[in-house]
Amino acid sequence: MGFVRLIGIRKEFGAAVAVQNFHLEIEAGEFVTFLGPSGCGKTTVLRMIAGFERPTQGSITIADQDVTAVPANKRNVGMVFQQYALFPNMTVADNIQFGLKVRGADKRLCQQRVEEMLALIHMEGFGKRYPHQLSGGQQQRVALARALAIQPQVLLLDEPLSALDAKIRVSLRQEIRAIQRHLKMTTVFVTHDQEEALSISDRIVVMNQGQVEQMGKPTDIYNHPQTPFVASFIGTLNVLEAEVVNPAERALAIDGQILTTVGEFEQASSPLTVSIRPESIQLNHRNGHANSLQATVEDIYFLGSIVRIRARLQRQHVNVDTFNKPGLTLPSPGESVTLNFDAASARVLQKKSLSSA
Amino acid sequence: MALATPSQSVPPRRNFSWLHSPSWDWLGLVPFLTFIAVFLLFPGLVIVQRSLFDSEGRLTWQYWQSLSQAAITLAYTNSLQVSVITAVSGGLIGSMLTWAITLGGLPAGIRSAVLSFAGVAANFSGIPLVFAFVALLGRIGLLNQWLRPLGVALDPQVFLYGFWGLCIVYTYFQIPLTVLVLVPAFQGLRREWREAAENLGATSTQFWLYVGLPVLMPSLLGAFALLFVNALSTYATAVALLGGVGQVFAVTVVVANQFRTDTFGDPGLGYALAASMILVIGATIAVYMVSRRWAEQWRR
Amino acid sequence: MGGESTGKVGKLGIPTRFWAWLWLGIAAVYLFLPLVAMVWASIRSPTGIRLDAYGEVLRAPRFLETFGFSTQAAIITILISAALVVPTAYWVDLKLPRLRPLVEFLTVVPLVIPPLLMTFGLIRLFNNTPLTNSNQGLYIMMLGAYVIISFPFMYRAVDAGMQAVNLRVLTEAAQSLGASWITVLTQVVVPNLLVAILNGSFVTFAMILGEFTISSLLNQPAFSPYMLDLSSRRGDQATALGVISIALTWGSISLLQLVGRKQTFKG
Repeated sequence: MGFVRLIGIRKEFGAAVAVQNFHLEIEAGEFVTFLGPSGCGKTTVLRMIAGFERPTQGSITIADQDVTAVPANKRNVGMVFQQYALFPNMTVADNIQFGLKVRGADKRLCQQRVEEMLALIHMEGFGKRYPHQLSGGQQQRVALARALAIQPQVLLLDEPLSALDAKIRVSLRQEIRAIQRHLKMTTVFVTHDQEEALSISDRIVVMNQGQVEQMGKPTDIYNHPQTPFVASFIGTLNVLEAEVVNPAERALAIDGQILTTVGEFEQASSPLTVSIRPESIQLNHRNGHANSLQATVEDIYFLGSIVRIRARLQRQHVNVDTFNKPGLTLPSPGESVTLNFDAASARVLQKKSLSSA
Repeated sequence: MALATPSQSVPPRRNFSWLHSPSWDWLGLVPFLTFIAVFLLFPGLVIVQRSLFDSEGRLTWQYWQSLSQAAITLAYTNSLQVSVITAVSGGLIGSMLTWAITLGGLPAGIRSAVLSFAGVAANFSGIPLVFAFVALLGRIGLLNQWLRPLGVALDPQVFLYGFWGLCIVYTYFQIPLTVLVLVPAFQGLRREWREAAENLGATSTQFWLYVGLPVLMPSLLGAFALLFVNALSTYATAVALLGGVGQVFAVTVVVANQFRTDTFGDPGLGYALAASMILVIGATIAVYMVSRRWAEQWRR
Repeated sequence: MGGESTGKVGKLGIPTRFWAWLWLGIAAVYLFLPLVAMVWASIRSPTGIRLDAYGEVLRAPRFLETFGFSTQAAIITILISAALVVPTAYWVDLKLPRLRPLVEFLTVVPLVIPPLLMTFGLIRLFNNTPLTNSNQGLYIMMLGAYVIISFPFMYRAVDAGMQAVNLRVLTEAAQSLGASWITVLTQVVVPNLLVAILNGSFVTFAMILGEFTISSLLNQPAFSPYMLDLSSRRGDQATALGVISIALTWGSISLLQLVGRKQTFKG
């Protein structure tokens, strides 16, 4: 049984359905990320856990207690907002101890907790500063400390890194993960950045238009996307349309060229969607790969440690990623190349999205 | 263009380079500045100057000193009291109205409707408004018609043509002014602060006590200052409502009478009166501007 | 996204929304009841509803004289004010942006020296000059004072308009495309600021029609002094005139709010 249980959650705003068919069980100490584009409902679910929205249907249980009807200020969950939401008229120390103050904790406890928290976020000595004197990253760390000061049962983070610079985003997300591990805090993290989600989560819930597309470990989501949406949202998977040629031999045709896959499918399901990871394709060297497609190079993109080659089959495009190794020879635009990959690298995707785990 | 070198990316705060900009740019401001000087600044200076210098050009405090006579202190006391009272009453009703339309959870259209009307009502002329209140609170006014079957009567001498009448009518103008000034401040109270406070366990009262009111305080003080000045410098409404009696309750009427007919038999006194008003108003406006600067740091 | 789905309820179990409606109601009563009373007073008579007061007051020659006088004065004021404010605001935004606080401050000074004191200062300043010795002189002083009190509204409206269309960037774009100053002024500045100027104009118009202090102290035959004078002779007519005045203010400001809204939809 999970520490946090969301059962049959449905949320309507007037005539619009923001979330439906949402079931999730989060284990104690687990780091779960809700991932999806704007408007997919991920923030709505988070706010329902926090108590700022009430589900139209369904129930929310935390530590075996039904909190669906419990008001937000009585739930003992800690929330970190995208816009930091630090109280501008209070110092860092006052912000951090606010939760304790409204619970009537005595001064010594407050002071002690503030010191603990400041040490946790590596901002000792910042106690007397005001929010407007801090950078974005510092403000967010204080917001985190403030949420953790009350020793909540669950920590909720609503796109906490979206307002920050790229570099700070990476270092801060690692810091958040480290703190979460250290405290064994059950955490729900909301983001639209798939790289963020992949790098720090125990489990990811991919959402689209109010429904769950797929749920699972980051490696599962990345390696085995189950719907076209997940495939196109995570990483830079190539998502291609293929005609069924021969189900018995698992043969498909993309832009007229034949390839074999490992999935099962029927003739009637034509056309299918196939995903191929760009790093699983080798250029020009067959090396015993089952599939070899002819393509024309259109463009080369230098991405630092990766070089991405964009090639065209007949109508559809394929991205090939290769490591930027010294001595690498790259084709030029307009050149003909072959794209070589295993049958297992070409995954057939289901058309429909999942509605439960 | 400024004389900064290319390596300077951010100009230092106290940068007086504008003093060195080509002088002909300043010419563009001449018409505007001249107008203000002639019609506003010089008249103001004349008032101040003639309050301190007698007809022979000698510096004297006598005019300022004669401000302490009974009739004037009475008028000033009443004026200041009316201004404070209506700043509070109008400010209170206006603040609650502002809260109601921004954070009160009312249907969406109400806020813009109220804002529209506030923009209109703040520009209502004093004279018709006095007529309106006479029609409402007068001896044969609307309220008295409603109260007649109950055997009660509102005495206009108490509620209309005196101190309290002035307060009641002035409050009418203070309400929309408050709304116009405070709506941005209330909208600046970010929803996340409320939610963060709730999330940390605070009740509504605790939120307002520790976060809401402190953040709003500079704006509230600024609004109060503005309302105070607004009431103090009103002339038309006072004269229309009180007529001759006005000079007991409104300094503006005293000033007007003194200038027109030299009621005190002392020409310099008028200037001192006017100058004293400029002083009081000026000080209050300074408070308003400082508070606005102070309030701006919350809205980051 | 409605934050009210949690149904906020205060300590006493009374929803926040109740208090909101309550205060809205209190304010509405305070703000509307006097207006209702005024309309009622202007049409009531022992024999039922009587609209004669309106007819009488509108037909009175003095009404047309004073109303026409004030309207004319308002129009002249608007023209002078716009002619001063628009170039100044534009110039400051373009060439002297650091002076913006100063200019903003200057437009707030009319608050510190209220019309009453400004008028007296003017009279005494120009005492024994042609300005005070002739009616035309007094008229000119009145116009000058009117322009001053219109500055805060004009400047704010024009300034807001400039920020809204980002006039400085538009000017630079026009210049980079080779436009001369005249072209920039006539084809970029004025058209884009037209709505803002109209905005300031409507407010100024309403304000000047309702203005009493300056015109009364300078003995000018303006609309508001006439209204007050009328009230001591024919109360019912004066009340009717008051209703008309309020209606005019309401109408002109509502009109400009409508125009303003159209502008934001276009942009």
